[in-house]
Amino acid sequence: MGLLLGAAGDEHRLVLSPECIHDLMLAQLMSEFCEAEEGEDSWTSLLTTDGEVIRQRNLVIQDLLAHPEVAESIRKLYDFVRAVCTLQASGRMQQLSIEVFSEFSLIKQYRSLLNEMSETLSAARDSFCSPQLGELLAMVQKNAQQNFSYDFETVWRELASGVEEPQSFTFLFRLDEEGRVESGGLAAVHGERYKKALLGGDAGKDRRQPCKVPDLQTLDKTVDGEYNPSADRSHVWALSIAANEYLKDHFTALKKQFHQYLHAITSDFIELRTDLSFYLHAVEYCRTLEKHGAAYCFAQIEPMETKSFRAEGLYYLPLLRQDRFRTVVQNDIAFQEGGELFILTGRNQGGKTTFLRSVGMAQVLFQLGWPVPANGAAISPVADLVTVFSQEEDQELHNGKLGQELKAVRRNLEGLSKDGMILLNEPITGTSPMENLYISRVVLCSLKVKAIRGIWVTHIYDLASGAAYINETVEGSRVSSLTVLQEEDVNKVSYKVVRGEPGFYSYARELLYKIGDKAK
Amino acid sequence: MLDRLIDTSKTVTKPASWKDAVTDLEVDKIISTLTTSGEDVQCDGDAIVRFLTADPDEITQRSAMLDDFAKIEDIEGRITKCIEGITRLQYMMERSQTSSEDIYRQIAAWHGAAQYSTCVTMLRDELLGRDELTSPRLLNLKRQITALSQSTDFQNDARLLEAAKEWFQLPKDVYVGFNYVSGSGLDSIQVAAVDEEATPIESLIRETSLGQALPNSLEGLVPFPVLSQSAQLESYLIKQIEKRWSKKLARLKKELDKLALSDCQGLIALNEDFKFLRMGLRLIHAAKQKGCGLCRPALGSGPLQISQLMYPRLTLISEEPVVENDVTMEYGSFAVITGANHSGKTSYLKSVGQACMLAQLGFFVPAAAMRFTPVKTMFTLFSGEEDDELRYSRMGLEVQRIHTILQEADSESMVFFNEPLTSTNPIEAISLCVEWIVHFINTGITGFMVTHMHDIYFSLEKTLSEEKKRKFRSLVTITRRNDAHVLKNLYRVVEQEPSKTSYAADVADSFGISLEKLIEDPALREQAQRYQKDVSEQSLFE
Repeated sequence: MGLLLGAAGDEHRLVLSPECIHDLMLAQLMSEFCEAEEGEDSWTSLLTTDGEVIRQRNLVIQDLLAHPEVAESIRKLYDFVRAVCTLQASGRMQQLSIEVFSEFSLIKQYRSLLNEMSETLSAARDSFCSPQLGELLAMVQKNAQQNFSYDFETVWRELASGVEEPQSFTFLFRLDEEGRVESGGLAAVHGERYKKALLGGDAGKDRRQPCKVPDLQTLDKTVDGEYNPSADRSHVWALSIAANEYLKDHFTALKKQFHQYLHAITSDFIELRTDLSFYLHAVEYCRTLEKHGAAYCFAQIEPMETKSFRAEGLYYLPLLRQDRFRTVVQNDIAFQEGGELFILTGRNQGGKTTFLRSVGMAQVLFQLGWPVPANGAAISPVADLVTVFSQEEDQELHNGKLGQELKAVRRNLEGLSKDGMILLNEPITGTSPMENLYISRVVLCSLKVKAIRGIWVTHIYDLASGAAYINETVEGSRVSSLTVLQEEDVNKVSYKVVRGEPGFYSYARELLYKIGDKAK
Repeated sequence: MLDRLIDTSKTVTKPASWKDAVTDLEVDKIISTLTTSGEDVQCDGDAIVRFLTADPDEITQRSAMLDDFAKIEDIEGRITKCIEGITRLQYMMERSQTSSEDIYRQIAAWHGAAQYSTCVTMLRDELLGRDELTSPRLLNLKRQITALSQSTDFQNDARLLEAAKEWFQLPKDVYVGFNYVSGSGLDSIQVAAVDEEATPIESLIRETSLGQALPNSLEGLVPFPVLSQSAQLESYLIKQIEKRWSKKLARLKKELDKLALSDCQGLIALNEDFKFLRMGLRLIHAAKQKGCGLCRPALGSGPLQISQLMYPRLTLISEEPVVENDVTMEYGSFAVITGANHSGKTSYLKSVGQACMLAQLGFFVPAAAMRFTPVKTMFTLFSGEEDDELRYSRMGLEVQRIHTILQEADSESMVFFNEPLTSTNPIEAISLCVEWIVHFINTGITGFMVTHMHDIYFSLEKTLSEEKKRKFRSLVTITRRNDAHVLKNLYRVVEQEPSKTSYAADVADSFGISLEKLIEDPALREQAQRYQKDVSEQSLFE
């Protein structure tokens, strides 16, 4: 975790299995709202179980939403850092090109960026809720001072005044004790030329500045490996080639060195790249919801041991792609503190799986530190989040369908602690209803006694209708029934999920007819 | 004229056979171990043979010098300093003659002159100015160097150089301007300024830290490449400097022509001797570091006697203690060495060979004491070589070598054989070896032969006369079984009749080669065991 993301270590990570990410369709969601950049950490590695970290992240996002100018300056910094990271010294130059000179202007750009950011953050500092942005300001100021502690303007004028439009450059060659050239380096780049002097000449006080020199030796400009008839003196030609080849190699290496330098002076912010990206995407997420007119809120953070999940106006985010927010159905849900297992039944295509996913999604977004898609919420972090969704049959027939399903259930039960959450979506289908019931009851009891919270979507209605009895006889989580509210018009679907006794009817026939009619 | 410390005119005869011996006995590896990476020292057979001698006086002189030097504190450091100084002198003097540009020749001559003075002073003060020296050659060199340093020529040279330093400084920093046209490239160049002082460079692009100095250059200095085209550019630059400094350079040349630099070449020639002596000193130092005994071999008549000899090569490279063995061998005698596999037979053979060669270099030997007579020639025959050009079989190469040995070895030779004739019928091999040994004994050639063919000894015991038997010995490496019945090699050599077994079966088993370890299925394993039992009487393995 970085400066801005909070200090939680690996022991506070919420690890999601690939199956869970797939079942909850999280990858599609995240790619839609926050396109991951190449080289950035996967968002899944940022999931935390630490309530304090969640709180800190909430505060940073709130501050950025409240101060768009701060978000914008972070955006500029992030873009600059990305540009530095993607700078690449390509192979040896084919032609002598002094593009490396123009890259030097990035130094000036960086300095300006730091100064600007320092001003912006300083102006808003007193109204920040999050301490992290104050720390970011300190980092910016420290980098500005550390990297540009000298009189930058004077140095720039003397050494790099010509980087945008170079006319000449001064090169320093150092001789060894035998008079051989042992080393060399680019001293300065100028916007003026060296001039020929009639009577000798020498550099003035500053040997790096263009001056009058004796016998300015002409070099052929278009040295590209082919004989140029205008350069009819062979030693001039040889010198032209030598100078060009040497400088090509030298500037190729200089580019690499310069990129390393840029990396070094921006290293603090390169390390913060994930943090910056995280928050920029969070702001983008919120702005997208606002654009849709969709509700979002920062959930109240409850202690893990309370096993809380309460949400009002919860909705399924991906629906915003298709519908205006005002047509998206929102639901309320409240798990009893201490753990509750909901058995969710109802008509086919009534929104049960969607509801299940919306709960899972909200839990994940909460533990990312982002606002959740609801009008209001109060949530505890979970130590584990597992999903068991019905699967396609294993084509290689290693286990048979039931075997495959039972294997998946077993595996996920093993990965679940008392502070975990489980979301089951018709997990067992490869057997007769009676056996399904029997097995489901076994699983349910095992979840109950562990005081697990979760939601189980099923068409095994007896599982829901027997909730009262299981609560009387088995300690642990409370088992309750949720159902999709049925409208009076059987053809209409409410998508509303409410506490209530199961309806004992899935309207499968109706659905069949509906689909058949559409087909006609 | 300065006298040399090592007289290489007294080198051994028949260098080709010595060269083979240097390689087979791994004396080249000993020398290589004593050489630090990057040093300009040759470790090949030719280079070592050049220094081998059978001259007793030369051997004595060399070991006396080593004895003297070994008493001086940090002698290796001092001698290395002298070697580096003389190497630099040699380099500068060569450059002053061969460099392409006049300015380079002048500068090299300038440096060479200064270095000459430094070398003479260094030799006089650092190396030879010690009261402990007793060796005649070192004392002689000390006298000569002292006289040289006190000579009028030397004093005049020093004064002249000191005076020149007042007005001549070598060029250091050259600022060059390049004009550039966007889209076209470079269009002109010229040297803008030359400084005699090197300005400390503070690059704009560097790791940052608080309180740093003001940058005065965009980048720091990076090494100038050594490429043919870079030379063109360098040549142009140096010509520009020459143009600007023509008067200074002319005056410098005039002054340098006045220098005497007496016997500079003689001083340079001593470098080879110092490098050689440094090798001997390193051997002494390495042995002492390992806590090994070391002796200055003594010349004398009588048998070859080495007490508590440690395998020299192993002594230098092993972290473990090395087993000592005594060697007593009448010159003109022949010894056959037998024993279990991997029990130290070849190591013993090489120990003796290495000790004799080190002694004939004038070096010390890792032993408590050694008494020897130098041999004029040394021959070796180590089996296992293949002809790289595939003209001869392994046996063919051995036969060629033995032919040379039989022709050229005499009573002032020493021969070493390591498992000869393994690539032929054992019966024939035994017969040939017996003939050769008889020849060696009759000729008075001193020799050692490592072999697994125990019957060589028993055959010779039957055929040699009593008088000749006194010139023939059997040495055996000791092997015992411990309480767990596991074989243990002691690496000690004793004189006794050969054992009639090499314990080959046990050795093979320890490497996991057995029916029990290779066959898991019990039924199949039982079948193989039954079969082996049936054919064991015909097996050559045991």
